[in-house]
Amino acid sequence: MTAEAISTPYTEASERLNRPLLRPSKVLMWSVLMVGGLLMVLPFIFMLSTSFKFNNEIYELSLLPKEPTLSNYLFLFEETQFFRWFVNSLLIATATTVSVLFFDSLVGYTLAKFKFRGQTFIFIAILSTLMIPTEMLVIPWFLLSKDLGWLDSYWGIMFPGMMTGFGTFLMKQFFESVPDDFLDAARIDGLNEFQIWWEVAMPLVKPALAALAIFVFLGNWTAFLWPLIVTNTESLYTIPVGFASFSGEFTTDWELIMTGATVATIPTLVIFILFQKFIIRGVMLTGLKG
Amino acid sequence: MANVSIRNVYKAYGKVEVVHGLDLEIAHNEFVVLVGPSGCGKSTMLRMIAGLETITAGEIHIGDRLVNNVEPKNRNIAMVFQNYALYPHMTVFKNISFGLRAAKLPKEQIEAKVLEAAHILGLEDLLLRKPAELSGGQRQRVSMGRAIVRDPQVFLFDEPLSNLDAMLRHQMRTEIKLLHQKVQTTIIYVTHDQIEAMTLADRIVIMRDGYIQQVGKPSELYHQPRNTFVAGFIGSPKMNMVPCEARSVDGALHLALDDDLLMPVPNPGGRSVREGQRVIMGIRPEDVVMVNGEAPAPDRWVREARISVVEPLGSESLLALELGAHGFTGKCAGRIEPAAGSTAQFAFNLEHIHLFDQESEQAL
Repeated sequence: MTAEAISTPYTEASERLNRPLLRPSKVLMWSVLMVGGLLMVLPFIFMLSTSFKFNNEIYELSLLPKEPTLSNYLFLFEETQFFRWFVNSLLIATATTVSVLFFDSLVGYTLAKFKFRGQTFIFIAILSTLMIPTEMLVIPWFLLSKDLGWLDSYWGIMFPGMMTGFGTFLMKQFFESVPDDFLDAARIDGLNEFQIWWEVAMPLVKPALAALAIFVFLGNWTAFLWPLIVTNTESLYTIPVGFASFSGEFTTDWELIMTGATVATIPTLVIFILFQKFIIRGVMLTGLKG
Repeated sequence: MANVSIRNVYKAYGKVEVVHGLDLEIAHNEFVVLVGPSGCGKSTMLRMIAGLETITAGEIHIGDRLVNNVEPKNRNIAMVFQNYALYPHMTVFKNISFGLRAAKLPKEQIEAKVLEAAHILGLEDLLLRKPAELSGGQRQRVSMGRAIVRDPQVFLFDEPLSNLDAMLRHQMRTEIKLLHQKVQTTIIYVTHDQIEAMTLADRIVIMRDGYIQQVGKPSELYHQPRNTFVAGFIGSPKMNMVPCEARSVDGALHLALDDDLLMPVPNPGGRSVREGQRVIMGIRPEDVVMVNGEAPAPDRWVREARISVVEPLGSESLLALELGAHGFTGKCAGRIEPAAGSTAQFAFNLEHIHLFDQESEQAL
């Protein structure tokens, strides 16, 4: 072995030091990422900035308000039912999320772990609901709600989202990866089938439950079309429907919409920060966008 | 008393029958091993005893009770699974006590039972750990602990050592045997590993394609296999088996391995072999020993064979031999180091040969 070929910690370190810090490929990569990041963040900054502007300033593309004001926030909380809408959205998103987690995982578990006649047919039927867009369903939902007296009620807003084909499919796939030995061991230990699902199987699919919870909560938090159709009373509005009321035939109160959107972003932001790990895992696992 | 009685049990999945009328009596406190290759129906049988599979026909009794329609939890059995089946979200303590908590036993009683099981299995220091923080052997011990605390009438083991490395498997075999001595309960153990079966069992049940091939003590199965399947399955390395023809030479019965390779049959009167019959001759590798210096016993059949492969095991070496057109596995002492490709004299102990009918594959 020649002297040049010998690699010592010293030579390695000096090589590292002599390496150019700014390689063109790295510069290009970081530039593209920064532009992408800015494009993502800019609307949020603009939303935040507009919420502190007066009405006459909203069409100016400045990021810093000339005369910052809290009047939009005061108006939103004092003159409108924004707080009520916020509570409504929270209530509806939470209730539907809990319901979806419970029922979808129950059905998914049954489809994954039990053999019964018509199983494949039921699974395909559930799966096929994924192919029907919401726009096609709102008329039947509306007629159903009208007949059953559910119009203009919380239940009316919530019922279409209480169970989802996607959630059932997702949970079925996850339960299939739970080894049957766990369930058999629990059967011998004396648990009934419901207890086995709740105490043994459910804790084993926590990541999937978390991912599903996030998707469902955010989906319901931002839902607009169906809550708009099914509600008439202002006190039953959800946040997106309430915002729509700021937009009239001739004018739109953008500063109020932006203020409301800023406040409405807080729960989603909290969820994203708290469950970032699960969201990324959920996106990776499901191959879906958040 | 916890004897297990399996009477004419069948199992079919749709039109496919996988267990065909099994009969087996297992005595109280007996350690019975069901062994056989994959798909032989041994695990299905165990799961039927556990109540995890329904029985298509027949009866299973545990103690004096017919349990065909009894729920697994009410059969008074405990099962140890191949992949341990420890709940990953629970500590060792909670895993062991899970069944007791489900049965709503008083807290003090649960604690006492778990601590006793932990003491038997040496798990006292691990009770607060989660399964992910345990080694394979420790996990298997926890799963045995979960079984012990139930004070079952019958322990069922479903290939419990399959996921362990060779050294740990050996250690756990000893622990299972010790456990059996301590808890004095009937054990039914399923494995595909014949060494596990030989070392653990009071009696071995060899299964193939849903049929029992032979039931007996390990030594019985080793020395008196009922057919070629049992002869080939039990023993490592496998028994040498050579198809040949029975011939009479000078009035004495011989086996013609080749036209010019005639092996005399000792005690032919004790065997129902007739001249001209196509048979399979079986001889275990320890009965084919390399002659090294000392003259072999006079009753040995000595032939020269070519050594094609040498596998040193330390105390002895396994030798792949070529004798005529046939391959044999023989043995020599570990200190002798024969070269592959060389030839040597080999002494065959014909007192221990086995003869099987070529057609029926049954022992003669």
